Amino acid sequence: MANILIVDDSRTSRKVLRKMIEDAGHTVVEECSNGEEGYLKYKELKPDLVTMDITMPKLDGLEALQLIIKSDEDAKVIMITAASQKEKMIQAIKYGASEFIAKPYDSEDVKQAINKVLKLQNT
Amino acid sequence: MVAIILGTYLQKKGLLTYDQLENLLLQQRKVHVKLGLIAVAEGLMTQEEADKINGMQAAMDKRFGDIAIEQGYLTEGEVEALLKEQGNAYLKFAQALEDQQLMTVEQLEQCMMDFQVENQMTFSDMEDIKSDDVDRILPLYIPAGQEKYLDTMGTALRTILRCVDTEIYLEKAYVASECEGENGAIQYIDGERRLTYGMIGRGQALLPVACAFGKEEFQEMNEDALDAIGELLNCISGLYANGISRGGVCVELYPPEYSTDISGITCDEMLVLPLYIKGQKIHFAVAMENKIEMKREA
Ligand SMILES: [Mg+2]
Repeated sequence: MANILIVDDSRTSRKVLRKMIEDAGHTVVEECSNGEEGYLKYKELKPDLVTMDITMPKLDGLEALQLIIKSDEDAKVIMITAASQKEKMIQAIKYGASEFIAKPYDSEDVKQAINKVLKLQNT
Repeated sequence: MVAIILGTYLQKKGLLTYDQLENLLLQQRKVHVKLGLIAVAEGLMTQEEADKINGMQAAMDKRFGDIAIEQGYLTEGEVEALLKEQGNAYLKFAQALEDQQLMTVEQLEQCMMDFQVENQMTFSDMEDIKSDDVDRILPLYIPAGQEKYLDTMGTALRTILRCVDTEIYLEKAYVASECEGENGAIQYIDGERRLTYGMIGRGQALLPVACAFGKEEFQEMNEDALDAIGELLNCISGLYANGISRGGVCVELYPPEYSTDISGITCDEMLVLPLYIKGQKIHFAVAMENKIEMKREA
């Protein structure tokens, strides 16, 4: 069971993701609608895991990822990509993303990605 | 998709009511297509002959195919070939029509001839419609000379069929610089290829799309419902970007924009595809190179 922070500009995506995360037995500690808020909430709440949308206004997911990893190099961040655009993925890997989930995803994709990242954390 | 295309045609002809069509679209998913119906549809037997064997079948407790072979109507090879057609979407629709006692397959085939002539379709076009394959159906709705839109529109239609509704009725797409609507969303893709996707409707027309995609019972087309439309565009754009990135083309997605208060969308040139989703007419637009803008109400 993990405490998870959702960062996504779309209310629809946050709602769908929250349900999938809760159905998988985890807790959503907070929802944020942009990267800046996500970064600040990460520092405040120290969740076990973050799901981070890439395409967002203000601070996008890559910039927020960079800030979070800078403040905590062990942070576990799953990037939610609308497209597995190579360049963005390469950047995200460089910045220290733990895993990717491509849209449109289903509950199984989300569950698997979370479990995979959490197991990494346990070893 | 073949069921709604042909069903809507029959409804417009007054041969089905809207409620009957709705019911058919539900029923056709679970029908069991009978061998006799396929034999009639393929022109191997008449309706009368099929009815006769169906009658014998009830009395004899034998399979339709076996009786048809015994009686000399079909060969073993023909029965085998017909059995392979049981999953065919057109035949499922025909079987649902027959099960609901709305029309025999022979009558449906007659209507299909009218449909073909009225829409000036070739036999191969009709095969494409009956294939139920979106990649074969969509080109029939794109105007000649506008094939450059096939990829982008194809991704959109496939995603809508997958995430919103499996039965969508199309009208012929057209090139335009303006399209009217009262609310909707657009998304801009920039980089080595530039395009804009847009989806707009009047009043509450987009509501069924928002509810189906957002998995939520929205009461009206408010900001939350439009957020769902924006995310649907985001999925479409993402899948398109995904596809071209495999070919080495790099693009950047902008966050979708939406508005509850517009009079339409404008663009130097865009392709507009009218769609009917759950009975509501909406417009889906794609622009290449040009940017689609939302026209805000003054
Ligand atoms: Mg987003």
